[in-house]
Amino acid sequence: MGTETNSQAGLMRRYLLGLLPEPEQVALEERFFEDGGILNEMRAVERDLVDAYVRGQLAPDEKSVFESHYLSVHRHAERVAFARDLLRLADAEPDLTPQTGSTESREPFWRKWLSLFQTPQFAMSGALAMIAILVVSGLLLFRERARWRQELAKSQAEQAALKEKLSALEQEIAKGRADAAQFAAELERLRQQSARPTEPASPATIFSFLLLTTTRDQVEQQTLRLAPNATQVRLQIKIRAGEYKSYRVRIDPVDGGGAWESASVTARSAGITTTLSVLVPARNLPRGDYNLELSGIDANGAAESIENYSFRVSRP
Amino acid sequence: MNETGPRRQKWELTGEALEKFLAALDPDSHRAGEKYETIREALISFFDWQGGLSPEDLCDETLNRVVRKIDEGEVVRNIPAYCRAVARLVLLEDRKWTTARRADVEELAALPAPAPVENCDERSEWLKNCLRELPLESRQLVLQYYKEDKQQNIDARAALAARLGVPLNALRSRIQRLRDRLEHCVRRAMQRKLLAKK
Repeated sequence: MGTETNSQAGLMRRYLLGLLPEPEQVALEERFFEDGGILNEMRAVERDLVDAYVRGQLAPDEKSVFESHYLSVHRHAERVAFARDLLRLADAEPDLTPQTGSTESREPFWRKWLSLFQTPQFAMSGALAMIAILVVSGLLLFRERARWRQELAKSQAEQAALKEKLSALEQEIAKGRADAAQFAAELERLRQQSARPTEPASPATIFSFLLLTTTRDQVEQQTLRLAPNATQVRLQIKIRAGEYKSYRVRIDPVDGGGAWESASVTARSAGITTTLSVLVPARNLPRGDYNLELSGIDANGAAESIENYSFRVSRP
Repeated sequence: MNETGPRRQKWELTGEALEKFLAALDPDSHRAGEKYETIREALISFFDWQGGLSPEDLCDETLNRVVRKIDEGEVVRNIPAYCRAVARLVLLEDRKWTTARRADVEELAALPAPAPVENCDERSEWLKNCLRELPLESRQLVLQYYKEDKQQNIDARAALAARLGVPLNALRSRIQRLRDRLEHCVRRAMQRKLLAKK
């Protein structure tokens, strides 16, 4: 454990193992409460620590502390199980990719073909072969045309069947969407219920909403019903994890007017989901229809539009 | 501490109190919102690393207490540091509460036990499937990055970064994002399996 003791990563590592004396622990916590960059660094150190444990690279005393402190939390044990699978797979060099071309065939195939025609012996026999090929091709073409007519009739029948299947699938998607909306509403209800277990209908001031992707099949628009005392609205968006460094959220009223934008939003994974969360002052969301544009910011700072969400804000 | 543990205190968060809190974070409402989210992230990680039973609930309880203090007129010069201090208290209460209800907690914790190491074929298959969902370049990058180099793993990663023409830190960030994505994908598969069992 000794060599890293004084470095930042070493401090973080000892923090995660519960080995830092209280003053240093407090100092480090104050830093990551203040600075999101330090927090990300801590998360990276946590992963490295987990990987080192899985690889058997921890010193005996460190390993023992890791097991008694870090691994005593169930969530952490799950992280270790995942790391074990990932590292084992990386070491095994699995064949997960399609085979790429061998190094021998770097010369383009057409050039190899061309080189055949460049031999003098090939000139005469090549011409005769060409005539034969033309005759045979004509015959084949004629036969192929007849076969095509049959295929066409068959494919028209198949297309009709496919259309039926597609329509059934679209219905399933619509149903799935309705279920998701119901689930989101239920989640929101439970969240509000758990926040106030003993108080019936007490006034809340931060309203949380889970935004769902706007789809072609969507008939009813999502409506955020804000209470008169709402001061902040937390909009949560489920995304695919790990796509971008950060995200930009821009909300435009459909009927024009000032847009609201949050230029640097980070995603957070919790449980099985990854969520973006932005806090919007409720005064920026008067009654009306809105379009929310979600853009991903890559490592170079370039923004790429990912998804659009439309929603309506209603107020009593 | 009431029946539901340290997480709930009988105080009602009001709009005015929250506005005060945000204004104390930063006079610019936009920046205040961003700082609020940073503190929230830090709180959740703090409770996670300290083994809190439900990091998100403990985070909400901490924020409620801080907002209340500011609303009551307490002058707080360094809000992130103050939040950290309150979080420590909430954590201590959570530990006491957890100890007092150890039997219930153990029963709860026993529910979704991670797959034993010896029988992780299924998890490994999920991971392979999740890797296949990544673009080819990302998939190869993750596997190369995590492949064990028994000599000097750090140098191997530096060499990989040099080969790609990016700084090591940038490579690390990219790998972290990919790993998050994979972890999320595997958890989703586990969740699907649990739901299917029900």
